[in-house]
Amino acid sequence: MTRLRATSGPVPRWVIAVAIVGGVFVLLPLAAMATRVNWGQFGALVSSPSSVAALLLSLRTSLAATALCFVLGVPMAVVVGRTRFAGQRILRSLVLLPLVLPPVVGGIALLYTFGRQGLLGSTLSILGVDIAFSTTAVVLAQTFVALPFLVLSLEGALRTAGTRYEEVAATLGARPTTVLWRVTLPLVLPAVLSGAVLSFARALGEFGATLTFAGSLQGVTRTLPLEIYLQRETDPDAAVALALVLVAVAVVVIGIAQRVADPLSLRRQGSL
Amino acid sequence: MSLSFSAALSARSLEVDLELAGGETVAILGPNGAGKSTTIGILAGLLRPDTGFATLDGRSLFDFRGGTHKWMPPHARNVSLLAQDPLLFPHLTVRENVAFGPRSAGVSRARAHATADHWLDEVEASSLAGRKPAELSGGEAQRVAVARALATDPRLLLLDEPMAALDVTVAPLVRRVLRRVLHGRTVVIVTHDILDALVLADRVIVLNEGRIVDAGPTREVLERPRSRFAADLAGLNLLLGTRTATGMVTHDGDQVAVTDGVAPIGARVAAVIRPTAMTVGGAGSVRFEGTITDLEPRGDLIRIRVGTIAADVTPSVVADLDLAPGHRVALTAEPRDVTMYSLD
Repeated sequence: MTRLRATSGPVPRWVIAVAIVGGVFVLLPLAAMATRVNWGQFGALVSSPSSVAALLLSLRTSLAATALCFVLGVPMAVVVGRTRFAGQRILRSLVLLPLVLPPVVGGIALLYTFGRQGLLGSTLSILGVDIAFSTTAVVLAQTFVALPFLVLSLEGALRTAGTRYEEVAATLGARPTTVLWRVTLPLVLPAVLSGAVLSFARALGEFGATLTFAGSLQGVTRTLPLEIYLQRETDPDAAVALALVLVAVAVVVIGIAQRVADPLSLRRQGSL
Repeated sequence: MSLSFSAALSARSLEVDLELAGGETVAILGPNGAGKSTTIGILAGLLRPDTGFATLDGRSLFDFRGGTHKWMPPHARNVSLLAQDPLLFPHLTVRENVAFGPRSAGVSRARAHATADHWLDEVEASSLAGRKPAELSGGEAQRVAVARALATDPRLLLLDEPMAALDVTVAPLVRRVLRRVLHGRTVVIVTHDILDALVLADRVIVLNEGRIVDAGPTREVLERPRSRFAADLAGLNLLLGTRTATGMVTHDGDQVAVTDGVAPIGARVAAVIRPTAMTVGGAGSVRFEGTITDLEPRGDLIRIRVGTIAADVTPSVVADLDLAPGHRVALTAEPRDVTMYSLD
């Protein structure tokens, strides 16, 4: 509060009051959940075989999904942010679709694409690849919902950064690919990193699309959110304990996101 | 010829022809919006003209004549661009910035760094090699940018108002460095500072509204300007008109007597008069009557403007005659102070 007061000259008091109510609205449920944690059993609850399997699967698939978001999302952001072509605005809107789509709808769409009876599924099936209800399906579902976060974050940064450094690099003899790796991406690195962290967080929390497209098989497709949902029916204590683990991971992720974004963006501002 | 260039871009109403010999430095002067930076952009390959062509040392940079449509991308041209802002890559050190060009050309890291150190030495910036651009002053950054532009050993160097963003106290050092490193190079420099043209350029071209309105050796253009802009840069009164038996008649209808000047009667001529040669209400037969539009201090003199004609007089004259904007006066000069030359 002391820091707030130091810089809050022109902010009306009632705005601060409402903001406090909003903050309480966000934090109170988390606190309420924390009061229900069975601390005596906490260690045992989160280290049960099914919990550990779910946690590891979640981390593994979320990391894979983040990598896939990077591989697909960087070129998408560059194309949307740096080129002009007919229908670009429509494409940009479509890229953001997973952001507003209910995840369960995304899951159904993926099922009709990669599922055994799906658009590509039957072809893949002949090739001996079966995606639906596998760990790969989890990664695809997570990538599907997380991709817009990286694309949005990076595309905005690319637009703001402009192309003057790239133009100079080109006149110094750098080919477009060299310019991308050595100038463009380093310049927007904070946005790449914060976009990747946001994508990771979104992938970690993925539930609806995963359940629909990948199912809930322990150690194969049952990620932490699915585990929490299932445990809630049978063992509420375990569900609450795992939920707290997820909250902790989320807090760490937000901390990392702010740390990678801040010092770098400050350094860039200093030089401009 | 090292560079032949001819381009038109209707979106910027530009139409410019340019020829540069190898090792020659040409300054493009002109008011804002005249098309200077557009010309540079087309040469660098950052803008496409509608029509035209350019060849540099026998290689075609672009050719949009007739049905042909040849276009060399900027990275293949070996044309370096130094802009008003240094635009050093903020994530690289000074040495890595200068080594960027050679590295992009496929030179090994060690050799690229050696080249970078050589050019940093040339611009008197060796001690800055390990720093990040954010730790440099404006003048230091611009010198590093000069080194970076030269490290690629460009066939053509483009300078777009390289001193415009610099503090007046550091501009002289950068100008001195440029004068030394530009020697023997083929350079096009855009500027609106007469000093840059005098110190750095062999020749100047004056652009106005997308067209070349004046061109020639720097000294000649400044002594015998053909455009209002060049005359303003040189600090001269410019009269444009037609040769008569006794001198010339300006487009405004003023009769100007001239003692010498070679041009047949009826020819298009220009004449210049130094503002210091003008007096207020003197006996000189060259007279411009009108209302004072402006008074401004000019060193230890006062500049009086009557329309486009300026006279520099001492403060005591202004006080004695009680001169102020709105007063009607006659600015006069002797015919021997008028320098007339043919425009045809």
